[in-house]
Order: sequence, then C-alpha cells, then structure tokens
Amino acid sequence: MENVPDVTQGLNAYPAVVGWLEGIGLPGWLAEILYRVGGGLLILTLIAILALVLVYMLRKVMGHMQCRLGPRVTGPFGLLQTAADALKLMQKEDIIPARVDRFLFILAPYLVFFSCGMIFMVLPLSPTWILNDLEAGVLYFVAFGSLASFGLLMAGWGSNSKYSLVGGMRSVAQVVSYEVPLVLALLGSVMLAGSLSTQQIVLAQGGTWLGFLPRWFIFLQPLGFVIYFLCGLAETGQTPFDLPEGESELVAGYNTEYSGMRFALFFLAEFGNTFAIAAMATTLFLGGWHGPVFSFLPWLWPFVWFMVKAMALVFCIMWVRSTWLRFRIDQMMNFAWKILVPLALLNIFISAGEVAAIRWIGG
Amino acid sequence: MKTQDAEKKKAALTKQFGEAVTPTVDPDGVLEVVVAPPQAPEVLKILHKEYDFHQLHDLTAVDYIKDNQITVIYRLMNIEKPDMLVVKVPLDRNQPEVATATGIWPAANWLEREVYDYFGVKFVGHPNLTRIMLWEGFEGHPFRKDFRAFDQEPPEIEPHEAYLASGFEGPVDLRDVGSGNGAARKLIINFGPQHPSMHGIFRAAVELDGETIVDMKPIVGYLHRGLEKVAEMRTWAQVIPYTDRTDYLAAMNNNHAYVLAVEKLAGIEVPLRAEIIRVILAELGRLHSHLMAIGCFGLDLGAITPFLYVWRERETIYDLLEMVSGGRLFPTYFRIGGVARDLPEEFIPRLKKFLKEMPGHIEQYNNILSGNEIFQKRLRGVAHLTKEMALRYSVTGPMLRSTGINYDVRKADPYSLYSRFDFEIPLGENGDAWDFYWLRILEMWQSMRIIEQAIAYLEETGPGPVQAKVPKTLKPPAGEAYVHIESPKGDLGCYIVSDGGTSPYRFRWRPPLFINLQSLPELVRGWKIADFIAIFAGYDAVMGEVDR
Repeated sequence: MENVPDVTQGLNAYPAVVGWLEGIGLPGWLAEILYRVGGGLLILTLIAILALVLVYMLRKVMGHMQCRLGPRVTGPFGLLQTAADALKLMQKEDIIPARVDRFLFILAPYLVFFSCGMIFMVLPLSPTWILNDLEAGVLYFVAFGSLASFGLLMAGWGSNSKYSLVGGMRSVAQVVSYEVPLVLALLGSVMLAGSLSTQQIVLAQGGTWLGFLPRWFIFLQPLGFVIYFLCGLAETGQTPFDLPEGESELVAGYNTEYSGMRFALFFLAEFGNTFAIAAMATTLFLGGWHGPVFSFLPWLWPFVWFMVKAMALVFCIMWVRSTWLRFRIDQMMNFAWKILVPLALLNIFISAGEVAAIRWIGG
Repeated sequence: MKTQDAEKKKAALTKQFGEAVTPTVDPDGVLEVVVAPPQAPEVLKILHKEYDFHQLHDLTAVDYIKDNQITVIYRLMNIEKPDMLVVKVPLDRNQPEVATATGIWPAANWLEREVYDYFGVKFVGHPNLTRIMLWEGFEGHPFRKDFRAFDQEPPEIEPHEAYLASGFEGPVDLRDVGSGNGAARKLIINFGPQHPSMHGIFRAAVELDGETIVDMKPIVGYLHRGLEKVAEMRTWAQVIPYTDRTDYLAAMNNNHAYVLAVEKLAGIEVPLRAEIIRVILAELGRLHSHLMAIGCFGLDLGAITPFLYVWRERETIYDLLEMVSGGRLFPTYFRIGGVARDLPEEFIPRLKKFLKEMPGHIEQYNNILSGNEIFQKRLRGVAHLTKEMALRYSVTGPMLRSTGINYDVRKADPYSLYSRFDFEIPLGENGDAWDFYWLRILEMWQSMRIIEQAIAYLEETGPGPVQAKVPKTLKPPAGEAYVHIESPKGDLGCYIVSDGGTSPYRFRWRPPLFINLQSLPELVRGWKIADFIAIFAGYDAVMGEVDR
C-alpha cells in the first residue's frame, strides 16, 4: 500500500489560482472573488454539460428498455440530439401568458435552477475538487434541496393555471414530507463520520475492513441508503414520485405554462438535481471518490471513481423511471409518514449502536 | 336475440293496455310494441317493473316523412336472461313530443339528447335537453329527411360554458378565487378536450376539493363527423369504410357489425370460409384493442414502458391486416356477402407465429405491469361499479363483466360462427379498476383460443369462395334489421332501415362507449384525480366511436 500516490496532494486549484492572481498584482480580496466566481461559472458549465449527457443517457437507457433504440439520426449514435434540442429551446419564443403573476412567473425557474446549482458547491468531486468545504455541508445540501420547492410553488401559483397550481401544491406537499425521512436517513452517515462536512464524511470512509471490504457507509447503513435513495427520488420528482408533473393527470404540472429557456431552466434543474442526489448518495454512502488509484494521472482517478459511482446511481434512477409508475397522492404521503419516517428513526438507533460498537472495538 | 315467451307477453300487453298498444312479433322473434305517445311512459315503466326489462339497450328515432311520423325506438333488454323487446312510439312530425325515459333508465339521458339533436324530438321532463353532438344554436335537425344542408359557422364561444357554470359551486376561472376568509374553496378543472390522458378529445369538467373529486360533468361531441348522416348518402357498400372510422382500434369488429346487419336485411348467405376469416380478423381486432387498452392503463398511471411493449405486438397485428387488405389502421376488408379477397398464403403462418409468441408477451406485461405492487395498489378497490349501477347506465363490455354479470353477445346472442367455438367469458367480482384491467388480459387469452380454433377450422374446410353473389347495386328490400355484436368496447349495435333504395334510409350505430360513459360521473365522485384517470382508462374510450 506504500506506492499509492497521495491523491490529496494533486491538483489543488485554490492556492495555485489565487497565488497566480495575486502574482499579477490584484489585491487579495479581488483574487478571492474572481476565484469564487470562476468556480461558480465552472459549476454552471458542469450542470449544462451534465444535463446534455444525462438527457442523452436517459433517452438511450429508456429507449433500450422499451424495445426501441433511442436517438440515432442526429450525429453519430444520435449524440447531437440533445444539443439540437437545447438549440431548439433557445430559439423558442419566450411566452409569458396573459394574467400571470409576472414577478413570480419569471423568478421561479431561476430560483429552482439556483438552488440546484448551489448544491453542487459542497459536492466533493475529488479530494481537492470541492468549491467550498463547508463545516455544515450536509445541512447546506438539505437546505438548498428544499429551497427548490419554493420555486415550484411560485411557478405553480404564478402561472395562473389550475394544472400548475395543483402541481405546485403537490410538489410542496411531497418535498416537505420527504424532507423528514431524508434528513433522518442522512444522520446515520453523519453520526458515523462525526462530521457534517461532506469532505470529512468521504475521508471517514477511506480504507478497508478485514483487508477487502471498503469502509463505505452503505455496508453499515443499508437501510439508511435505501431510505435516502427513495427520498431522493421524491425530492427530485422522479418516478414513482413524479406527481407534481405527472403528465397523464396534470399535463406537465407546475411547468405547464413555461416555454423556451424558462422551461429549459426547469429541465436543467431536474437533471442537475438528479445528478446531485446521486452524487450525494455517493458521498454519504458509497465512499465518494475513494477507489483504486493508478500512477497514470493520479489526481484524476478520484474524480473518475466519483463519477462512475454517481452515474451508476443515475442509471438506477432511470431504470426505476422506465419500469415503475406513479403513486397516488395519499399513497405517496402514507409511504413517507407511515413507513419511511419510522424506518429512518429506527436507522438512527442502529447507527448509534454501530458508533458505540466501533468505538468499543477500535477504541 | 329473441324475446322470451313473446306470444305470452304479447297477449298480456294487449290485455293490459288494449287499444294503446299494437304488439307484433317480427321474423327474428323479437316482440315489437307500437305505443301511442300518451301511453308511452306508462308502458315503459310497466315493462321495466313487471317485465324485468332492466336495461335501455338503445334509444333512437327514424324519420318516416311519408307517414308524417318520427318514430322513437326504444330497445329494451334484460341482459341476465337475456331478453329483448322493441318499443316504437310514432310521433307527429310537426310537433314531436314524448315523455322522457330518464326517470326509468338514467342511460336515456344522452340518448334522448342525441335524438333531440338529430330529429328535434322534445322529451318532456328531460333534465338537460340540449344538443349533444352539434352546437347549441345550430339551425334545423339534420336527420329529418327534409333537412337541407347549408353552411353553418360554429360559434366562436365555447357553447358549454353556461352548462358548466350551472351546478358547480366553485369558480370556473382561477382569477375569480378571492382572498376570502381562508375557508377552503373548490376548484373546477377542465380535463380535456386537449389533455394527454383523455384518449382523444373527451372533456371532463371536474370540480375539485383539494385532490378529491366533488363532481364531474362529461362533455362529448368534439369529434362528431356525422357518420350516421353521411351513411344515408352513400350506397350500402360505401358505408363500410365509414364504420372503420368509429372505433378505430377495432375496425374489423365494426365492419363485422355492419355487414352482418346488411346481410340480415338482404338475406345474403355468406360462404363458410369468409365467415371463418371474419372471426379470425374480428378476434385480432379484439386483441389489438385490448392491447392498446392495457398499454394506456400503464401510460395513464405513469408507466411508459408497457405502452411501448404493446406497440410491438400492435405492429405485428397491423402487418397482418396489411397483408390481407393493404390497409393498417383502416383495413375495410369485410364486404357485404363475404370479405374482399382470400387470405394471402403467408398470412396463416405469420398468424401462427404471432399466436406462439403472444403468451410470452403477455407474460412480459404481467411482469412489468400487472405484477407491479404500485400498479395493483393504484387499481385494486378503486371505483366501485355495482351490478345495479351497471344495469341502470346500460354499461356493457368488460366493465359490465367486471361486476360479475355474465353477458357477452358472443355467448348470449351468438352471431357469425361463435356458437361453434369453445371459449369462456372471464368475469370479475368487484367492479373495480383492477377488474377492468385484468379482464382485458384474460379476454386476450380467450381471443387467442378462438383464433387457434378458427385456424384449425379454416384448414379443415379447405379453399373455397370468400364472397357470395351480391348484385352490383344492392337494393335490400324495404324493412329494418338490427344486429349487435360484442366489440372490444362493449355491445355494439347496428340498426339499419331500408326503403328499398340503393342507400340506407336510416343508419344507426349503437356505440357502447357513448352509453358507458354516462356512468363516469357517478363512478368517479369522491375519488382522487389520479383515480379518475385510472377509472377513465378502464372505459378504454375511443372518441371516434363516442362522437361518431
């Protein structure tokens, strides 16, 4: 194990970039701001690229699960299909229906997208690639995850359409309900790692048990992982919790009246959130960026492992999406409050027992 | 279908009403009672109460302009026995008025509105006697023989607004919701005419209290193409393509109903081979329609994949139809007196291959859809169609059988060759959405059984003619004929009246869905929006048939 390169010494951008900016004569505070803004822009780009990849992936995965091939005409293997769609959405006329609440109507998609983007700030993509390793990273993630529901409610109310209104109400009911088991399920990992910082949680999952089993929290927290994953589906409005936009009932739910780029923002946020949920599950339960590191580009491997794990989870989400169907509103609520919350509470007790056991053995 | 104890009933009716009724037994053995308009409501009530005619099978009218009469025709049934009886009420053409039958059979509601729309017959006491297919403000009644068509612009304003505003408590427009005093307010949402899961252009105005449905008003007629009127201007043979376009998921079954009616009227004997081919294709049509129904069930509940699975089998059926006729959605393959041409050589092998693959495919649907916990949870116990309610609203088809009533026209009143095939009628128990779904899967197995037997029978009989000798210009003798068949959607009737001419004098299509749909408000009241979608999927509605 001595030959493993120390990945934490890899591409640490912060001192390099800020040092270079200060080197060309900028004051320290400006260099700091420029670094943060640059990082933010990078994340926006990342979300956009991710959405393009995920939409293509979704189409291909669902296509093959549904006895068809998915896009294959635009570009090689249909790779340019999503780019063409994005282009189409940008060209669309920006329609604001008469009699909408303009302020809310316009603000809503930005708020939804903003909350999605903010989540990416605390995702530890690799030991050094984290925009801001907050002390309370997990709490921050939960907070911004639920901020999106305000945006959805604003879209639902602001559209002055009944489908949108019912969709908005559903999404708030859903997010508020599933927030509870979600947070409770997260607590298990937090207790085991003893920290709310996402990077610390990943670091706590390094190494192996008995020499072969990676110390990922999923092995200690199988129940927590399942609860988190289901709540994550609900938070992002994926099947079987796609009630807020269930097209057979509410046409398109809260985004019925949106078109063009405003719709594209909802769309981007949906895929961004899907990835964020998968990435957070990776961080909390699947050992984050931990994985074998090879001597070729050692600083890149953690990122690769992180993406592989996250994408595998995204694939699972798509799998669920193409095989399951929608809950009814009361069933959805019952599932949250009568099944998931008690189980999540039970999970906390299990975690506490595990923490005590580890201290007893390891201490 | 014969009237049971026709002579006995005839005598009893004459004794009870004397001069007011003239009962006759027609060649089919159906008792036909002509009643003077003033006595009509009483006779109908007695027939319902004492003679057990629980069901208004059909209600229509014919304009006999030469006799200065518009005859309203009530076709009554008792589907449990089964038993059928026809009541004819001749009305004065200048002032056609008769008491409504909605008090006896709620199913009469839309049927009477339709007759009012087409013929201008006033049903006294009807709760909402407005036009149903044409728009309010249309001049004239098109099915009157002296009606001359002229260009009429439909109104720019949606004509149903007044109807919608009545009876609902909540505001029609979201903007009318004031800040109020914080009390809960009801909301009216329009599902349709354009809505992803309204299976066409059905409109349901739903009053919601939160997610729960307080009340619902169905509105039909957006796809009205005047099929019955058009048929009056075509020759007998030319009507066949129009029947394809009613229930476009089971075009073959529609063809079947029409050609059987014409053959019955003209007394044409159909070659055996043609009759077997018809059965094979009609059952293929049933398979096709049920495939789409279960696919749409999944789609309406949020599962896209099963819908695309059924598309695969649908494609095979379309290929088969294309083989025999060249058409896919609208084959127009049946002819009066037979079928258009013999089966091509490759048809039977391909069909056999399809039948061999099909059980595996159904297994796939069961794996992905029927066996899904959420799917079962969404359907089991949702909606409760009771026997009594099904009879009241004249519900037919899989929905009726889901209540446990054993009524399938193929068994109750065997037509074509169905009496010689061995098959069962799957029955439900609870009349819930799950039964609506599951019966369709079970019926697919039975259809496959029938097709297998029919193929064996076809091979046994060997080659032969597929078309009887029918004159180039067919002129059936003056008279009328009624034939009903079991279409995938329910009891599909075709009533034709001939005056000895080259085209139908009156062509009436008894659309099962149009009549079934009247039960929708009562069925969905008190359920959630998502349940409404699931229940509506159970009707397997095809608006082409509802609106014709």
